[in-house]
Amino acid sequence: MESRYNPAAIEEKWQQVWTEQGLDLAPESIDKPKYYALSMFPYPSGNLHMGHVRNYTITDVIARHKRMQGYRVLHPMGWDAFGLPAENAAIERGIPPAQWTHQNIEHMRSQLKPLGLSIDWSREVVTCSPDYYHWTQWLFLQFLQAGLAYQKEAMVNWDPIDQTVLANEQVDNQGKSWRSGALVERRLLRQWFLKITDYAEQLLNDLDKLTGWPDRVKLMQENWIGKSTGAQVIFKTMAGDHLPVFTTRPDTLWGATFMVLSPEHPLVEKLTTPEQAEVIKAYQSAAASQSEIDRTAEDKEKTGVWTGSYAVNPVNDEKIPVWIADYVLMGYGTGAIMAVPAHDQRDFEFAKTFNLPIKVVVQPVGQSLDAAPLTADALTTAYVQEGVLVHSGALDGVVAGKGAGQSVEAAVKWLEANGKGTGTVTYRLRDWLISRQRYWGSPIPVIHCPTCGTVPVPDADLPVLLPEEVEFSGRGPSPLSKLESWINVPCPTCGTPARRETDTMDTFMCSSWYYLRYPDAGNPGQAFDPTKVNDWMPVDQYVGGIEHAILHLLYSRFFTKVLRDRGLLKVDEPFSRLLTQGMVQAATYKIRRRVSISHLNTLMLLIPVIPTQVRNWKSSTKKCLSLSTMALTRRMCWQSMGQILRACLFCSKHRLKKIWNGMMQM
Amino acid sequence: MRRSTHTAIQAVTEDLEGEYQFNTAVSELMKLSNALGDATCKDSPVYREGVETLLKLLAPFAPHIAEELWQSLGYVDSVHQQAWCVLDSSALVVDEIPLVIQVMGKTRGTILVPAQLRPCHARAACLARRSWHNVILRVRRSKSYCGHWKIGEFCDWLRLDETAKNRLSAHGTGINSINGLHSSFTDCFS
Repeated sequence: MESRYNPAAIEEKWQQVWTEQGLDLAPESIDKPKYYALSMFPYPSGNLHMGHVRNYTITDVIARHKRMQGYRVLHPMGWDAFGLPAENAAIERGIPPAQWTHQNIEHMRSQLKPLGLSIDWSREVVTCSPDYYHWTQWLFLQFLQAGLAYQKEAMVNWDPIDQTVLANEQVDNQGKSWRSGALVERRLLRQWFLKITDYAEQLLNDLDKLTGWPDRVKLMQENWIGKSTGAQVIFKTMAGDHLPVFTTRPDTLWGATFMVLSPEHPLVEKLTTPEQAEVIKAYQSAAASQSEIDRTAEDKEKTGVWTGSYAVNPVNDEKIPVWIADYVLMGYGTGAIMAVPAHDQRDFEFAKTFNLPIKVVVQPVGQSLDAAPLTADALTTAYVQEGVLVHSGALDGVVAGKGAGQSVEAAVKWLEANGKGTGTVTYRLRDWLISRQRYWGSPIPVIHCPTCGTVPVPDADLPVLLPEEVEFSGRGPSPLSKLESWINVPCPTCGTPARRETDTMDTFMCSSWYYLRYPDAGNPGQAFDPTKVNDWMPVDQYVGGIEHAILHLLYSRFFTKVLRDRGLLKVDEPFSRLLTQGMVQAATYKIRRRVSISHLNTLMLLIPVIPTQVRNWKSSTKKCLSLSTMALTRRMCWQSMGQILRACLFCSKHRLKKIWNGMMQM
Repeated sequence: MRRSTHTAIQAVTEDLEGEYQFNTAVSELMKLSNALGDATCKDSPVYREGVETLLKLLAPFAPHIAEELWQSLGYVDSVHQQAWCVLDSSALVVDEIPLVIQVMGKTRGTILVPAQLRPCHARAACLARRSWHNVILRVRRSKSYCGHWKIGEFCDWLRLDETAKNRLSAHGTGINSINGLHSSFTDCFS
């Protein structure tokens, strides 16, 4: 043995020995408790970066520790290999997406292996290979059979640069595409959806079971699901038309002094009086040209126009004016709201701007109702604090609030008893839009027959292979929809000429079940053998970035629950413990763009770990570097990291050297 | 030495479970490594235990170097196939613990007091006043002060007997230098 610490010599040697001895393989048959340690699998962008190294090292430390503690450990790795960047590479450089992807995988695997992570490489999965997407397609058909996949004409987010539809989650809070950064437009298209809303209540309630998850992530999911209880109340116009509104505060109905409709509301035309017709028309066309984000911005000056008509408040038969305003969206709720200016800030500002009446129906607790009551004139902002109801008929004196026995509950009861409305539960969560007008994804395995309608591709004909002879222009519709030879097939049921579905699946479909493939990765005849999956599941420790708090983690929970209900799984939740490591971010994070590993213009943000660097730093040093300098959940900022990188590197190498030298003196 | 070994086992194991404090685990390993370097008993079984523990605890963090050094100890099986170190909590018992002496808010020194007199790691800070009888000792456990004691109460807390108490008080009278403090404490506890 050399007396000098020479990482290059020892690391290669031991990696070879460990591989020969099969130390990293996950044993199945032995009588030991199981431990499933999983890193979120990478997108094969071309190069590993420090974020990957940090992520996989954390999981590796846990896996090695658990093995020494006597567990049989499953610690696998794979590639989330479908997606836009490969197709963009094909358009820009003429390389077929499959070739680009596989080259990248080869390269990144060769960067990953020298790190000496104790990964069971025999279970590697690649989501773009037919033996994997075969089962993604099969799982889609499971959803279709369960009535959880459907097609509908829908207003979708259209990315004018990538020429594709984006999920709501892929549009940032400024209305821009998460990848191209382009301002998103709205278009109507026939799309495939998964009914995640059917599971909204379970996905919300079961968050309580996730005791090993960070509260922050659970809160983000809770907000995304966005459950609100309230009531649907029917207002009537003077002409007798119904104007249903949804409200989370039915207890303040007595304080409603006007109504606001979305400019797109179908009743606007009927409600508009001849004198108001001109201004209403002008306002409608102005609203149509604005984005939803602009229309609903909180700091925006309130605008609106009176239709000239009135509606009747069902609880006290008061005549209240009906307005239109752009901050009310047709796609949200019923497209109409009741306005309670005394107790809602936005309504308050609207009422002040247009000099509409304000009526107080909640008084601060402890104040006598008659002596020194809160008056509308005295209000400078809406009163949203605690209190008791006043001027509210039968509900006077009830404590305002959403708790048991409080005003919201009492109001719903009163509305139902008097036939004026019904209690409702609504969710912010929408159904999951899964179809993409793109080539590089798993084809949706259905055939559209003129006589039978939408027919699933029979199991025996799966997988529907992606054709390889395809041209990529980067313009217009998906390359698949131009491929007549592929599209035209006989209907599997009746044999008449039919057409294949040309949309492919959202890549989040592939990543929603990959953790179920590892326990039975090579199975050619099944997505997975339930015995094997039930043996290893749930994942005991999942490690990945906080940026997946909503999308991937919510979809995976949804998949798990659906597959459990189909009898394929026994677990309720896929991931027992979750560690969201801090993101390795560029200083330019300020521009609020995630570090997108696929973007050419963000490549400079990353420190690619090219093989020579791996050789120079050597993995132990690098592992200690990514572990020792900061607590795991903290964000690392590369601007400062860049400056201290050398120092840290030295420090970490120095630490190892010290241990080595200490031992040499024995 | 054994205490350092088992303190490291306890700390690293805790850091690898629960909250995953890998950064503090790595510094615990450094502490053990330093303790091994300073050890005088390099051919004892206790020292051997310390070295093997260090390598086993290091294995998840730096697998290659741990393996290389492990095999250099003469083992044929991989360090990664070893059972994780078992904590012997009796080895954690401390025989002496340091008392930090502060005079007028400034740390003047540390003296060792017998650990069996003390319920846990704690710091006593003395704020010197005019005479020993009025010295107020601020005793704290971790970050929160447990309370303020007059010298007599402090002696009770240390469970000193009457004789020791008297001796401490007698010695303390008129003492206003750190040396005097030190000698009176060591005298009393010896």
